Amino acid sequence: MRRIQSRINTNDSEYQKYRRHNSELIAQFRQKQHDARHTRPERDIERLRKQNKLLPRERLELLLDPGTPFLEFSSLGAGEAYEGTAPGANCITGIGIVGGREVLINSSDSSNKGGAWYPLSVKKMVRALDIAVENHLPVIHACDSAGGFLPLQSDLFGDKYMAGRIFRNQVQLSKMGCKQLSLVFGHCTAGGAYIPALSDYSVIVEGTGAVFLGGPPLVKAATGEDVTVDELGGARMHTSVSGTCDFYAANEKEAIAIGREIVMQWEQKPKYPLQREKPEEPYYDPAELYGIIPDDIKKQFDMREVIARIVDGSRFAEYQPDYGTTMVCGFANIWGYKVGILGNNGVLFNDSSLKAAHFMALCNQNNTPLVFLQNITGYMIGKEYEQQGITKDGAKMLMVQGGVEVPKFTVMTNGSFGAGNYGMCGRAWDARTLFSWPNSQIAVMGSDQAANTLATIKINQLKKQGLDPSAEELEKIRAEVLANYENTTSAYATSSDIWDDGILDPVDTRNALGISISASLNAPFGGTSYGVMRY
Amino acid sequence: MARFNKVLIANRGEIALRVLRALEKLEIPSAIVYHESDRASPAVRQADEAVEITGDSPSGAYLDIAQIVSVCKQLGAGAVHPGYGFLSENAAFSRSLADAGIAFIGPGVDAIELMGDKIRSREFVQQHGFPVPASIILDASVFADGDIARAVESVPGLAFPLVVKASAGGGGKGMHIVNSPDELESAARIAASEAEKYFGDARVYLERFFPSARHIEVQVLGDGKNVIHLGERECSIQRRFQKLIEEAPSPALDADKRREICEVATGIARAANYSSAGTVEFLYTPEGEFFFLEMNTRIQVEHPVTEMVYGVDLVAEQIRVAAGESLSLEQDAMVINGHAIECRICAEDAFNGFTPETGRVLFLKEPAGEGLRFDSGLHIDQQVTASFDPMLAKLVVHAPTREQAIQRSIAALGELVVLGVRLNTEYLARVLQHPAFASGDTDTAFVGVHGEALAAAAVDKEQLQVALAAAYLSDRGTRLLHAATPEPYGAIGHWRN
Amino acid sequence: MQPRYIVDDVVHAVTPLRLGEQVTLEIDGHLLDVRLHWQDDNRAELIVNGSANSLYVAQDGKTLYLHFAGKTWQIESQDEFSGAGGEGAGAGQIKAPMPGVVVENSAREGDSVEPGQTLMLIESMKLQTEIKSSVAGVIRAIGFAEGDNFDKGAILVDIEVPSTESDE
Repeated sequence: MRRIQSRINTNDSEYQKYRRHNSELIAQFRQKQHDARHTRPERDIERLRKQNKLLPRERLELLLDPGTPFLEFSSLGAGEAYEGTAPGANCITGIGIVGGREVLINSSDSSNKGGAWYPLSVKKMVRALDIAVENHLPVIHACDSAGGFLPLQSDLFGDKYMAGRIFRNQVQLSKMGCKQLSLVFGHCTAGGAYIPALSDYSVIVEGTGAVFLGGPPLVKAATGEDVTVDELGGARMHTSVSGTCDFYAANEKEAIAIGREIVMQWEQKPKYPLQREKPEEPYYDPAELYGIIPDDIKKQFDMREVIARIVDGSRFAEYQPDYGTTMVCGFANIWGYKVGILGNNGVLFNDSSLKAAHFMALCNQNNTPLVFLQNITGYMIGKEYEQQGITKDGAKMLMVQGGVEVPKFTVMTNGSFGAGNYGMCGRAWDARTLFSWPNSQIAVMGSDQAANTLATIKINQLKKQGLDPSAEELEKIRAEVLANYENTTSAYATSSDIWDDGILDPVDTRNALGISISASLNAPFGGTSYGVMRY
Repeated sequence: MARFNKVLIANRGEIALRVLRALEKLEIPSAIVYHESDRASPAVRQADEAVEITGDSPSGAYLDIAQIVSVCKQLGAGAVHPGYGFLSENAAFSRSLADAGIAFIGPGVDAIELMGDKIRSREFVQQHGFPVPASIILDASVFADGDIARAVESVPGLAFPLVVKASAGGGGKGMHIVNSPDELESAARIAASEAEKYFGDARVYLERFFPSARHIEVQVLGDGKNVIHLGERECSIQRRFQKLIEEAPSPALDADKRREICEVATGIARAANYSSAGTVEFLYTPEGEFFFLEMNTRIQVEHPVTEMVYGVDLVAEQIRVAAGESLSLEQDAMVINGHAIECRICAEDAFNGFTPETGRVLFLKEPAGEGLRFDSGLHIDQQVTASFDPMLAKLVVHAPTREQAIQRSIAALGELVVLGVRLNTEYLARVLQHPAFASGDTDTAFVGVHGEALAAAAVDKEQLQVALAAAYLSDRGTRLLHAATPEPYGAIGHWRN
Repeated sequence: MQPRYIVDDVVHAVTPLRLGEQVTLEIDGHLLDVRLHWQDDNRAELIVNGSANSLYVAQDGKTLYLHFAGKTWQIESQDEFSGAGGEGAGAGQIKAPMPGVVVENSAREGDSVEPGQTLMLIESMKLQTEIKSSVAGVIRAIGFAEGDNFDKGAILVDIEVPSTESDE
């Protein structure tokens, strides 16, 4: 495979300008992430220490194997919601290695609000378990949660993808043979009690771990019975009387040690033997991505420059390089894994849509996973294109993309607007993982376009009321609308709502994809039922 | 030629194997007794016959005269080789064997009894006109008198420091140094009570102690008619009165002194009508005086250094003589060739007060090469316990010069790999590397005087890092995890997004 | 999980940064690129930052014995998960300072003992040592009978130390 010839000049003033801009953006992202992970009121930390509890992230580090990565999902989930009171949505999810096994970890973050479940906590957990279901991953639940956040119960309880889905997914996982282990560090009350109860294995910690449908106050209120936490659902009771939990642990460290031993007993099933070569670092430094992504979302960049900084050896076998050139397609390796990459180099025309459809079909036939690098303003509009059947060609692309059997992975590198989001495997299209760069935006249309449309509607309303805004007032209205729009379309906003699996520093893209691809190979795939059509 | 039909080895470890080799060379059928804890040892596995013996303790089994004699009868062994330690200088054992018509491979019972009684042997040596250190016997009358200090003063040449020794002791057992008159009374009483407890013989004596003397001993060999010597060994490097490093010849003696001391040794042995191998131990002072210390009536641990420089087989010679043959060696033919050094490989924390170490031998790689002899009873899975002496093996190196012998010994110590129990090899190398040792400036205080220089070397940081890296990578837990970890997780390594 | 190893009572963190055929480790602030080529169960070629050594290894539980460059190392792997519980126990446990043999037991199970009271006479390296109580309490167990061998660190006597808190 030939190496991409980068045309980037790192001494270029534009490169330097972009690099400064993006470095700031990344620093901002890292700060937000750090706060979401670690900034907690002193009293919350103290409370955990007094209870002899480890911080959730300390538990995580103890649980994970040394020298192995942890791909955390949605570190800024709920970051823009609830006035920032539920950082990370009060839970930690991700893929890591425990006892040599690839596992999905679903941990309460009891360092904030006792790990209470907010609506977005539930969404984040359900998504994590969906990832386990889609990729056939075993799950370790680290349970330490105050339970559902009652003031917002109506947004987290009854609907199909709300709290019940957590337990439904647990049942599906067990049925599929994906093992689950619960480490009960804290209370699992009411619905939360089902997490350990539905786990195939469980360990409960003396003193702090408890599992019950109703805690002592509720029991007292309901039946008048006086009962202690230990009698009702403590470690000794559940491991010797009720049999609800399997292993008794004297403390958290012992629970983690027992947990690791349990995981080491789990069978290691063969993974899909995806074509693989010896991994090679990208020839071009991924840090140069900072100088490649422009400082304005409307500015174009060559997606090949991005590909060169993600794939092994910066090698890329480009497919149909001279046809449908706004769509870059080709084969590459990421951490050794053979993948087909689709990246946008401009708006989708008829030919670029057909090229994408054909390339995806080829990859599906060849059992090659797909990586989508989105920077798309949408499909071309206008009479000429409609007459050429752009909607029909876009539909072909969607039909193939939605129909392939191979795992798909999406990275929002910049803009993701309109139907382009769909064609390029947006959230609704079952990407196994979907990550966003901090500069990226997701919306029905670009912000300028949308702001102008919204401003026009507003001005028309004013005019109907007989008002005639001055040019200055018009500009003010437009600016307000734009700011508001950008706030709701920014990566922080969409990631807060779990529209993705988290924001990534661009230099982390290669590792995130490597882990995502490796995880996806636990679920079998393949077996196309159509020949490849040359549309 | 007189020969034994079968010889039973009443010992264990390296010396049992050493005796077995001699029997093989002489084509004499071998038998061995063993305690269950030695079942898997090389000597037990390689002897023609092996019989288990039992005891309250493992060493108790090897000290059980009745049991061993009965095994001899059962197997029809014509002789017993006792090795060193255990029953090797036990007159009762020798007598029981004689009663059963079994030969004891060693000197006659008279010599054992004479030399086993330190007070009597000193008197014997003195009577024959050989030098002994000034001393006083602490018999009941001295104790009764109540003023031991005055009694000490009355002996010419007896001055502090002194050493109190048990008459029935030997090999460092029951010895205490007395530095001043006020320590005298209690030291004497403790020594007497210990001697009673250990040896059933409360007799002790006080002797002048030479803190910076050398320990030089002469190997003698007799057949009851003739006695020859095989030069001297210097055994000054000692800890706790026990030898660590021995060499032949001594770097301290010139030819005249050597002849003088060897003639004294043969004189003593002749006077005792000595038969078999024996060792006459002397103190050699910086002033060039030497005094008789004691005579060991057995094959000595350090006999290989003599064997290597003289090219003889002392154990085979012992066996021949015991069978009634005359010495096959002649004094005039005994010419020293090169230099030999023996290092005693012990299971101990030499850098920490020489405290014994225990463990299980998990891996073993013996050093080998020209002029190198590794006498060992070590084997894989061997449980090293406190039941027996911590000495596990002896590394003996023979080279044309002392300097070469030292260098090769240091190299060989580094080549010896025993994993699972801490050994003193690094300490031995430190001693050999010490400039004072290189210059032959050795005396029995060496280990103490150079204590600071011989202390554990500060750990080299880089080596420590390499050791830690190797430990992590070879740890079974790590290997298990690494083997199970799917790709590309390991290659990505520690990473957080 | 943070691997830690103890050499001469000093704990060292060994942090793997990258695994694979070549492993990158951070040890005491230094980065080492290490490779091990196993020749058999106990022998390997150890390559650290490009230079090779013959390595001999044996492991007994958590203890690793290594030999390279003429030096033998005894290294304990520290279990990050141990020592988390049962703290405070052991105050009344008298451990053997060195391996040896019990000569005489001068106390029995159930006896009340005072600090300084002789409990046992042990012998090691031809030296006898009296084992004395450092606490007041009741003997819960005597570890070894007369004539028994024990290893260094073995619990010779286990004394139950009454709680210092009063009942009132």
